[in-house]
Amino acid sequence: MFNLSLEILRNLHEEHATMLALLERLEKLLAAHGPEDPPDTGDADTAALLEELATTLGEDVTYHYAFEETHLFPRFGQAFDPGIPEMLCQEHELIRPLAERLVAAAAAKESGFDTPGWSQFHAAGRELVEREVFHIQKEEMGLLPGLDRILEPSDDAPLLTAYGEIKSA
Amino acid sequence: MNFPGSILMGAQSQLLDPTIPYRYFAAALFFHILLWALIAAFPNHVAFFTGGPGPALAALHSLTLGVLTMTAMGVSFQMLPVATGMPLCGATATRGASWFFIPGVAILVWGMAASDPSAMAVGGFGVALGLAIYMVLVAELMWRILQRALIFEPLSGFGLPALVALAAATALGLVLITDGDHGFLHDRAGITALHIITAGFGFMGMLVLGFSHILLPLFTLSQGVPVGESRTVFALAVFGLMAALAGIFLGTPLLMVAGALLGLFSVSLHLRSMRRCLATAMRRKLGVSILLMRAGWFFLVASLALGCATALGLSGSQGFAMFVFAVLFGWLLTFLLGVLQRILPFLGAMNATSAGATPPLMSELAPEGPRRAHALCHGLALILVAAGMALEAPLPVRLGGLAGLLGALIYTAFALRVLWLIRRCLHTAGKTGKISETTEITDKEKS
Repeated sequence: MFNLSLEILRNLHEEHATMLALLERLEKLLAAHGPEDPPDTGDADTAALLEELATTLGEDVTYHYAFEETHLFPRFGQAFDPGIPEMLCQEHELIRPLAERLVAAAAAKESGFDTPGWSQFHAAGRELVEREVFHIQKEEMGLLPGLDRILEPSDDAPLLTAYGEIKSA
Repeated sequence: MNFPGSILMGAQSQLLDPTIPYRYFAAALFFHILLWALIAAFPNHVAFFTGGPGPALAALHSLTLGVLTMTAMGVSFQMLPVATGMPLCGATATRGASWFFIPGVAILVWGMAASDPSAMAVGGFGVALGLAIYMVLVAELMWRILQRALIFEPLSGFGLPALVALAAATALGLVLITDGDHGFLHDRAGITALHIITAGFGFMGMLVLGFSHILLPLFTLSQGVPVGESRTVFALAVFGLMAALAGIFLGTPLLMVAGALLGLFSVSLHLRSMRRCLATAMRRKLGVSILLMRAGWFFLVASLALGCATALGLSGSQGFAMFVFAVLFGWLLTFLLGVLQRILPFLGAMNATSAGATPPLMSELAPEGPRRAHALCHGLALILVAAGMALEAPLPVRLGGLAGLLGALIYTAFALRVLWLIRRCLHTAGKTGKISETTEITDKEKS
């Protein structure tokens, strides 16, 4: 990958890495339990994964996406191909409802999964993993290196502040 | 935009009309089936192959021209403009190259199988014409990359020597076809060896090294190969290639061995880079395609070792044939199939996205089951055909050919499914993707 010079881009990269690790764990859970085989949510690992999913995924599609859409995509579109941020926004729109369903189901983990509920979670989870991984691949290899070229060191502090404000809003 | 990740971003303005790359891929699928069918149908010719026209030579060229070069052309036309952010200088010419090249390969392969010199001459001429258009288009683009970047770029750095090697291999191929009719060459075996090395290591080998430095970090989301390392791999590979060619031309085994050793140094450095890519990957689940790529790397090392042994006369009567098999089938075909397993769905998703359609899921486009079944058949085919050639036994060759044929059919079904799903996706979106005419170069871009 590329050595990113701005802290804001390195932070986004870290968030991508965290999300990929989480998605890999989710993928393993989905592989271990088919659509008709709900996992035991009392199991410590499963419970931890669902809890992390509820918080990290929720934050990702809320703050991370909003920051990119407001502060980064317009700059990238101006400097390069405007169709690319448009495509990434479309992907956000595809991923958001999937993530919301998963977050809601994961947040209600105390009640456990019945078979129909797990089946829906399983389908949404598989789709989310695939779409989010492909999306992160594009951002890691295209968006972040591209932004690293066009952003100035003086942009770093205002962008960090803006991201902080979005997160604390 | 000219950073490697722009491939994944689907840089819309640079995407060609999908019919251009896919016509090459479709033809490659056909020749992939044909080559294994020829091996299965004529195992005697393969087990005892010592050169000259016949089904074995036809199978060999189904692979080299029909599969490897055909795919390289499709991938180059599709991915170079996207990866570099620079359009090709003539989209119509990319179609023109296919009009000459695809039927040219078919006629040449038929001529070789039937030992028909006229068909070989006509086919060879068509192939040369198609390749000439390809070389001009790609060389012109790479020249612009070099001028603009002013630094070593893996694509242009490895690509330009690859094109020089392709030109040399094509010329040597035409000489060999002409000689078949007239018998004017004093050292036909030497010219044949030069033809094989320039085509296998010079053209395809250089392209594979260059594209690997771009594609593997993309697939795995890992650290890219540092420019200095890429340069060293390149320099060692070029010196190795030149030494080997000089050794063959002068009939000096030590120079050939020196070439193979330099090649081994280059490959060991290259594999170290690739291993680091895999070790630092953010995305580790690469499926069966990485197994095929790893198998390809194993055969690359094995082929260079076999090349050394052959140059020193230590590999027995079948040494040279085994060397050629290891290079073309073991390394290049296996590696290419592994890469294509990942590229085809990527390209499909890119085309769907560019047309404004909801991109299909990767698991829909490329389910793991058929890919595993193909890899298994391919591996079995390699082992059986290699054993049959080493032992000069037709039965294992036939069984290997059948396993390869089954694998090729599975692979074709997999690839056609990808194409069908993308077509359906584009149809649903009511569009046909970005059309090549938009990529015609303007005078401004040229300057």
